[in-house]
Amino acid sequence: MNLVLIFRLADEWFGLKVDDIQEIVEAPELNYVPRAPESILGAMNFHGNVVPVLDLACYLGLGNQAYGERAVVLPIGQTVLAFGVTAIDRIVPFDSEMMLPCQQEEQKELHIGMLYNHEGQMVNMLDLPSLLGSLETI
Amino acid sequence: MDMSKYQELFLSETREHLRRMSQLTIALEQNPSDREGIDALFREAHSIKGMAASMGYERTTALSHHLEDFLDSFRSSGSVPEAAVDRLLAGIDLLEGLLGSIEAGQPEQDVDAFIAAGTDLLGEEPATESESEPGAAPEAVGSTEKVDPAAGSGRSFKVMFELAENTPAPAARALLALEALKTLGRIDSCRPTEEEMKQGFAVRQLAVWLQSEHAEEVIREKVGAMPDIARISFEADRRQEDRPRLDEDVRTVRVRTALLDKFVNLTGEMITNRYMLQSATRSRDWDDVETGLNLLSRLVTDLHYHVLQVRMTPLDGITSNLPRLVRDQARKCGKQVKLEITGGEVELDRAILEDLADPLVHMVRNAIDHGIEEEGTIRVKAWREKDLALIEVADDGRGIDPSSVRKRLSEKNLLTSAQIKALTERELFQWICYPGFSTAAEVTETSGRGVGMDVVKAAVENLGGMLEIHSKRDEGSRFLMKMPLSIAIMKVLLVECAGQTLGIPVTRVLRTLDIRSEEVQLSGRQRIYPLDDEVIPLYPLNELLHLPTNGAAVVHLVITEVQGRKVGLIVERLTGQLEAFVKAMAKPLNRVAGISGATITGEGKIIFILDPQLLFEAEADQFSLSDVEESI
Repeated sequence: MNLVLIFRLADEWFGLKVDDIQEIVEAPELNYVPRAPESILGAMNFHGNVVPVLDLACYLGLGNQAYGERAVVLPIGQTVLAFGVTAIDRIVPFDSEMMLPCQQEEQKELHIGMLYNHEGQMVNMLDLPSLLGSLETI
Repeated sequence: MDMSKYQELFLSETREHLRRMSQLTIALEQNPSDREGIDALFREAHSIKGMAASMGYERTTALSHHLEDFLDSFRSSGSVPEAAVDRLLAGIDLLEGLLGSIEAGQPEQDVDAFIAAGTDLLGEEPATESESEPGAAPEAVGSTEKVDPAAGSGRSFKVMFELAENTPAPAARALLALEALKTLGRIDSCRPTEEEMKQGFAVRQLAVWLQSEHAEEVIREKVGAMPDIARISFEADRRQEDRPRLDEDVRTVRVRTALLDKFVNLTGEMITNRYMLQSATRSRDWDDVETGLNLLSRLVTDLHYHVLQVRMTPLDGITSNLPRLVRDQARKCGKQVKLEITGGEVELDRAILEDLADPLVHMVRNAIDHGIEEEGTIRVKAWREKDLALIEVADDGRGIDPSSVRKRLSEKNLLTSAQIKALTERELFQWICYPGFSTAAEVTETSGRGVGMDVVKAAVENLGGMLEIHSKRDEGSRFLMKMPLSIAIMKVLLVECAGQTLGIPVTRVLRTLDIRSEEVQLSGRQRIYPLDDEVIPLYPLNELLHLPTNGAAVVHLVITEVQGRKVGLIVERLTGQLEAFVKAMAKPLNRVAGISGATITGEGKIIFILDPQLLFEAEADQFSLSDVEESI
């Protein structure tokens, strides 16, 4: 069954398919990354992998100091990355009929692919390929 | 049976045979009646034939069989004529091309033309006649060019023909269609095969994999007009896309059985050690626990050493193709070049070796093209020095002319004249590795030495090594690569800046020293320090890393080399050395310039490894080296 993880970035709700997530880590120890851009909070040791933690709220321009000691680790592949998020909400079943297209350009700029209506709560579904692609120029 | 498992093995073994064949052939050119050499060459061809046949690669089999016959004729005549050397080398190239196609999952190239050219030779008395056969050698060369996989022209697609029902002599029809297609492009393969059709195989459908520059319409018009062809359809060639991508390839390593036995023994010892530790812990016998831990630590060190041994490969692996390269290149330039290789047995980590292959070829080629004038010797030498492997490419040619490098620097406006004057020769020669310092389009006699050197230098430094260039006018040039033996395990110097620990590969550190803060002098706001007979610029690492700086009474310096000149990095503390297992950076951290990798300590902390050269390049706007020189 398809599941969606809902999490908060500053004041907005975001969602990611659970299949796109490796693990959620609470308060990971963050190591200093030399010359890293501001949005990189540090690197965590995730089972022997060096995983940078991206302050997603800061990166998307939704707010500084919104990192709430929660890291969403993406599956280790070509990209090795975790998102630092403000808070983890919950995991809900995914109903494709509740997806709404984005209307505004701003949403695309924030790498929001679709809106997901979860019982009236609007969740910004992250467009992961677009977001990861934008990191090429970090 | 799943042949793909064996394909990898087949390819690596066949390539080894081919390398030996090319070495033997070149040796035979020097000494044409070396009976043992001819026999050995024959055996190599024979081995390839056997392996290819068992794998079902028809054309590889046919070609190696043909070469075997060709060589057999010299066994009876007792010597290899000069023209035959070219033909043998062309055959070896062709075989290489076939292996490339097999690896890429493409059909093997056509070898008929090559074989046909040689069968004529074989029909006559080979030893004497082939020399006087003027067409033989060029033809052979021509055929290798034709099959060069890189030279594949146009698009690649599959053409399907359906013959009309009740076509008389369908095989003949299909063959005619095939002939027509041959005029339009290159045929990779077809099903049924040409041979099958010639035997009168009942054909209803013919599938042809074709590489052609022509549009589908042209092909349709030309071939479709033929009688009895009911339908033609085109498909894009999807074979390549279906293949797993190259980086997903499984790499294999050959391991001596003695080493494997060692692993088995070590495992046994570790199991015993585990029981010992378990029982000591149960009985809370701390003395025994300590003994057990000491033993464990020794076993782990042992294991670590032997695991690294598995990755060690002798340099031979990348130098064995140099004789051939030198021969061909020297001949092309009309020069007499001798090649001497020593230290082929020096072992390096496989990963380093693989990445050094191209730079090595490049330096040797450069030496022939631009170093040696008419006649000379290239010496490729490798040796061990502590935990470094040194590999040197030296020639006794004209050497690099410092004045022409200086001239080029000012022409290109890379440095001011004052800066150029201040450069020592050692620093000066590093500039030939500057990207774009000399380009293939504007090669001059000496600056030609710089062609592609930026790539060489980058490759060497990416592997944690250093490149030194020495040259004396009319005596020759030496390119010395100082490489770590292993890339996975690297000795790093640990330094501290603003409370953060960072690593610098020991291979990149010339020395460390402590000085008092008063000894740091200023010149045009640049910190400088006279070290030995040089004035070196100093840079606080904190600033390069954008970390806060605070003054200290004692200044710790790490002397490293950036673009051929000595540079001192000021660090807050030197905290020691570490044998680090270095992990390469994945996306997106690989985008952060100045980091060459990271290691995880026993406590689980992550320490990033800096590359001083890249660090300076990344900070070029603030810390331009040319500014420094100006200010001194």
